Amino acid sequence: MTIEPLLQVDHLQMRFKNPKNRRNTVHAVDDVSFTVAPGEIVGVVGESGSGKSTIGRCILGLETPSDGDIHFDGSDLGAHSKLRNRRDLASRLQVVFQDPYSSLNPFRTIGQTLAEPLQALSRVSDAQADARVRDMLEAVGLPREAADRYPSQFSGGQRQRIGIARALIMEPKLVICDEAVSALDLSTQAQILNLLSKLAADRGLAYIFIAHDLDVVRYISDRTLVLYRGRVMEQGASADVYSRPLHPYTAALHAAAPVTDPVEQRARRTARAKIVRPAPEIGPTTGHAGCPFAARCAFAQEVCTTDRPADTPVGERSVACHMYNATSGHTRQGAGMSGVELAVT
Amino acid sequence: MTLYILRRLGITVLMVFIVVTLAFFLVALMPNDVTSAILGPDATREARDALREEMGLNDPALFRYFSFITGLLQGDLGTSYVSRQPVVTQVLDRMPVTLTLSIGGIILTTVLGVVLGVVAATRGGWVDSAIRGSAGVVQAIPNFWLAVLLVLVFAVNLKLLPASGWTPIAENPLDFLRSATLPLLAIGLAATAAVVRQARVAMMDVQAKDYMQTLRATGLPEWRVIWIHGLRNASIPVLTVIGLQFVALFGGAVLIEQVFALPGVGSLVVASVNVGDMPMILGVVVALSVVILLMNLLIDILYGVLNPKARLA
Amino acid sequence: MTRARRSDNALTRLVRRPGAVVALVFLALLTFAVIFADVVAPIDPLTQDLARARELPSAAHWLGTDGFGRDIYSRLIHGGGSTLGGALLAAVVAMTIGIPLGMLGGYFRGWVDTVVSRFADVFQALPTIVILMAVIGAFGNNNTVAMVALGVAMCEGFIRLARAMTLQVRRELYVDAASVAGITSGSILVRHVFPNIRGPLLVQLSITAGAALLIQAGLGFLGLGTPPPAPSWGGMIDEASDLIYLHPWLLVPTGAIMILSILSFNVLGDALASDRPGGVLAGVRLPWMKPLPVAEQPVAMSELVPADPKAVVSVRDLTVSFTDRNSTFAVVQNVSFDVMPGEALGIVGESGCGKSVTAKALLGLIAPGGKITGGQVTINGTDVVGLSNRELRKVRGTTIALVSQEPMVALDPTFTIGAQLRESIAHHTGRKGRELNDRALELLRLVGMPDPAQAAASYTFQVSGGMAQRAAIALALTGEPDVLVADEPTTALDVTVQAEILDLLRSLRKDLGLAVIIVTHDLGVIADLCDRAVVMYAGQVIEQGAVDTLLTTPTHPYTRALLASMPSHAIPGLPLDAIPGAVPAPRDWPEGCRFAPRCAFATDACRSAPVPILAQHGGLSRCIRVDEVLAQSRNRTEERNIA
Repeated sequence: MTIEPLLQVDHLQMRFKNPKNRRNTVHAVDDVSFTVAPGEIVGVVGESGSGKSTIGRCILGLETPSDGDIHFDGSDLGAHSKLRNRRDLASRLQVVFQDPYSSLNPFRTIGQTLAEPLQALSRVSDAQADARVRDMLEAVGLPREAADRYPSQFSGGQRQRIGIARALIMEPKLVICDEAVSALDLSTQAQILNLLSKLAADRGLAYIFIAHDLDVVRYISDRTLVLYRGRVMEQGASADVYSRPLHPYTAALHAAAPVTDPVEQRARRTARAKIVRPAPEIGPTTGHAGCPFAARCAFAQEVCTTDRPADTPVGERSVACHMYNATSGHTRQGAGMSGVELAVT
Repeated sequence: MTLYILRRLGITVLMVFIVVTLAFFLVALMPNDVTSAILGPDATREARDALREEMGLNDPALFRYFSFITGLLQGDLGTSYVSRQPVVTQVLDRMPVTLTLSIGGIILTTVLGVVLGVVAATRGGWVDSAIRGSAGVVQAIPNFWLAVLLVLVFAVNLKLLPASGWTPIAENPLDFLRSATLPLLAIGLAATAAVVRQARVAMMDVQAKDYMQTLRATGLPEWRVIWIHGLRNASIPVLTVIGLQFVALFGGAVLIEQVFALPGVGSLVVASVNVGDMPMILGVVVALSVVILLMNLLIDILYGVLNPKARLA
Repeated sequence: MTRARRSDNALTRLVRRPGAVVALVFLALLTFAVIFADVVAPIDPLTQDLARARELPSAAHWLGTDGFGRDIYSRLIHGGGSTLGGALLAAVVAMTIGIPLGMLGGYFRGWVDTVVSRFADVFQALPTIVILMAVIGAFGNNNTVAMVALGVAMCEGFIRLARAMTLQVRRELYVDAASVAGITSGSILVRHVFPNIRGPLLVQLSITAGAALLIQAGLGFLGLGTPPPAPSWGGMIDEASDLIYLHPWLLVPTGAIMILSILSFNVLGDALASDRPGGVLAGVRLPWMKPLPVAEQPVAMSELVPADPKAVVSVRDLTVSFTDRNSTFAVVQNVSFDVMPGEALGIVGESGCGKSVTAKALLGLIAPGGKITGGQVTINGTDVVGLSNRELRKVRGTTIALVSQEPMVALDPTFTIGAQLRESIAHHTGRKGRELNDRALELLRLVGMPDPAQAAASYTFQVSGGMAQRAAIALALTGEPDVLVADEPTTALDVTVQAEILDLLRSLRKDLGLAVIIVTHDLGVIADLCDRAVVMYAGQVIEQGAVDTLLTTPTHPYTRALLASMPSHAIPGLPLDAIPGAVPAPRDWPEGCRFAPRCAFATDACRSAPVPILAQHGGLSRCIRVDEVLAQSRNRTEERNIA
């Protein structure tokens, strides 16, 4: 059974000229491909500079990709897209941003902010819009009267609920959650994660859940993409990526996130030392040719600095690492990271 | 840094060219009748036409512009309609007084304004209220009114300083100081108030920065934290205001020269406006613009010195 | 739809400020008087009466007469039209040209922006008053023309401001959100950008009007703009200067009206500058509202922490309070703990719990408005509470040092990393020259900089976040302290970089015997680095103990709930154990247990009276239901093991 994907991203590229060094091109997003099925939650995890937010912004049309194709629900949004007016997409594709403080206009009431897309796109009456706004506020766990107040009268968690209400009021099919819970305190983050999960289940929403926290992504998403320096290092079912990372970078990311059990944490620390070289800062970068993680990878060999690793299928997953590619010449090919058994909760 | 200065210098040269062009078309092509200014209202039509022809006023605008630019490149700003003397020599004659007023004024303004602003921001309490309050009032005082008031108090009543006139510094430094004190005060106080306000706000912003806390946490003496680190960071936005105040001071000099009867560019331009001496006005506009642009260049360079981010980005 | 409260608009907010009200009333009265000048000042401003020249104020002539016996009051009111009207005209012209240009430049950027910016640069370089004189020279003495020209010359300020503000607002996420919602550029500019830049533009309008007033009067003073004998404020000051020996009084009314007008514009501008919608009164307790009494603690915590002479830091009942206009409230209350040499202590909690305030109070660093209102902080035997800044500085850096949260802004961006290290080393050790530089490089090597010489020559904005944090740690080490207070040192960093910084802190503990107090919201960081932990909630210590037991068998429901709400402990598909509600603000702290409103274990006993912190189950816990908490945790673990 193949389901037509809701979103298909093919060979997406985003290049910038380095402002400090004109000859040097920065590959913010480097040949990224993935799909999102209807109702599926796809997690995109990576550190700063991984290009994860840029991918989201390209899909949203906030930035124009340098190259590649994006197909969403029958519309072409890629680099060569002629679709200049994205207005008709607004009701199907929405966003929740990270910063709950900057994402709401301080001069407009919550009601005005939420009603704006309704009135701009679907010509509803003021009374209808008002009713929908208040229903939506209730659905995200806020009082109906919140519509009359200004953003400054809400806490960070409440603002994030408002941001979710704004995204969902047009009843979209896909919501891009760009670090939507990263700025929140732990207890609030749990509330918002629960809300997002519930709304997705109730309404059959698909999410692209962009985050830097592997644990958050594992919890909420069905599938996970691990990004590093603009490239997909590996992708697969979240549970697999988390419990049996294939790529050394995923393993490093996993091992770097501290756990609360002091005994287990000591084990993770030992594991990390076996995956990452103890260089504090990445030395000379391997350039565009090799694997971006090679400089820090404990398993790196000559081929890792010279050849770009191809996406290699491993079961249902795929990984961009020479170790898994028989033709790469990597001596420990297929060996995975034996001896690096990560403790998993 | 060299590259930064060269780039700024290039921009300045370009700006001088644009400003001169703009000034030329603004001033030289204005529809006024210069002939009556020169020949008087009773001159005959023929005499007027002959004069226009002689002065080249019937030539096409672009031709006049190019001859103006060619002249400018050779240091020639044309000839005054009234005195029939070269504009350049007269403007250069008058420049020292105006430059003394404006540069002296901006130094006074900067030193006093920054010190008071930083003190207000760091002391807080009644010191802040007093400085902020007086800056607010002083900023609202017209400099020419203040000039008249200063004359009334210090020259007419107390008879401490001369009410008018100018002694060049080379002639008698003491008399120079006596003749320059009141004009400098009149021209600089309002600008000082503006700088005080900006310096205060900038310093308060800087006080809230993490690095100030870091520096205090390392145990550095408070004066170093404020007057070395705080001031350097606060001076970056203050520099912009100082640049704007310099332009304002230049304008103010025109009025102040009038009050104290000083032989500067300001009184020259007032006299020229009254008789419609357009080449002289144009010459003054060009001269003043060039000085302002040079000051902007200096401020840009200082900005680069104080703010490595601007220089290295 | 827009049921915004009527009372919350810019004007009603403005009239809550007394200074703004006076300025507004003055300008309104003046405008009224100028418009209806013939009624307000019936005496003809031009009628001369040489017999009554140079009179002081009287019933007939309220402000006296000038050199020709003309009524000064009447001349001021009649002359106000050209001055005030001219100034407003100039300001409006400047605004009309400047705002659209600036907004377009800022919004569309690219070549549009370049053209607009250069345009502004040119106007900035022109000496305004001389240009006006040229315009007058060409067009004759016409006030309206001169003022329009002035407006054009002054548009530069509006362009720059509108451009800068638009650039800033354009980066706000709500603009992105509106654009994702399909709103057009035009609507975004009008609905989202303009309202957010309106405040500063109004300020600029007010200031520009004041400046234009000054220039208009300046022209009048030179006899330009409004030709005599018609009255104008500037012209009248000119007349006053001519009569300075005979009739100095003339300076008073002319100057007063000018100063008051310009002052009013500026005051109005200042009031507008601090205007914000919504929550105007938020956080302001009005005089008639009684300040909430801060709950007293039945048992001072200090009694539970036995004195240990070996402790390098010893905190007892530390209380930090902040004062705003109407009340004083504690944000940290009766906090007590000890830190042994070489030990790592974690202070953990969510934002707003007072953990950062506690940590910085150890160095005597408290934000404006706050102070230590109780307790002792003993560092190496010296109680630092109540020490003067001068005495505190002897302790800071040499005994206790600080590393703060945002590495990119923690060091002065205008000095190189090396310069800041050398400055501090010189201050603490008196080293000079080569020795000084060697020590700086040694420290940079110690914190793991791969290339110390290059790092020393760099500014913070030239290095990565992890490197900047290493530099900040090096700076903290310049005075060879015994204790390092690290306030969320890894929160702003990537998780792999965080691990490296934690490794560094661990190695500094080992190699230098440094004690570390780390403030964090991440229980995993505590598990990684610390021997003991202090859990704070709403300004109080709610649990304290050895990390190994505290994180595995927490005794306080808050610690337990924090652990349970971590996504790493969650099972996909099942809801996370979220804590309902949020940390209350210091003013809203409940009288009983502060966590009770959010606590699953709370009973009436918890809510009725403050709960003391007690020694129980090997640690300290501020909970009266510890046994129930532990029992449920055991059940939960068994359930999980079965599942």
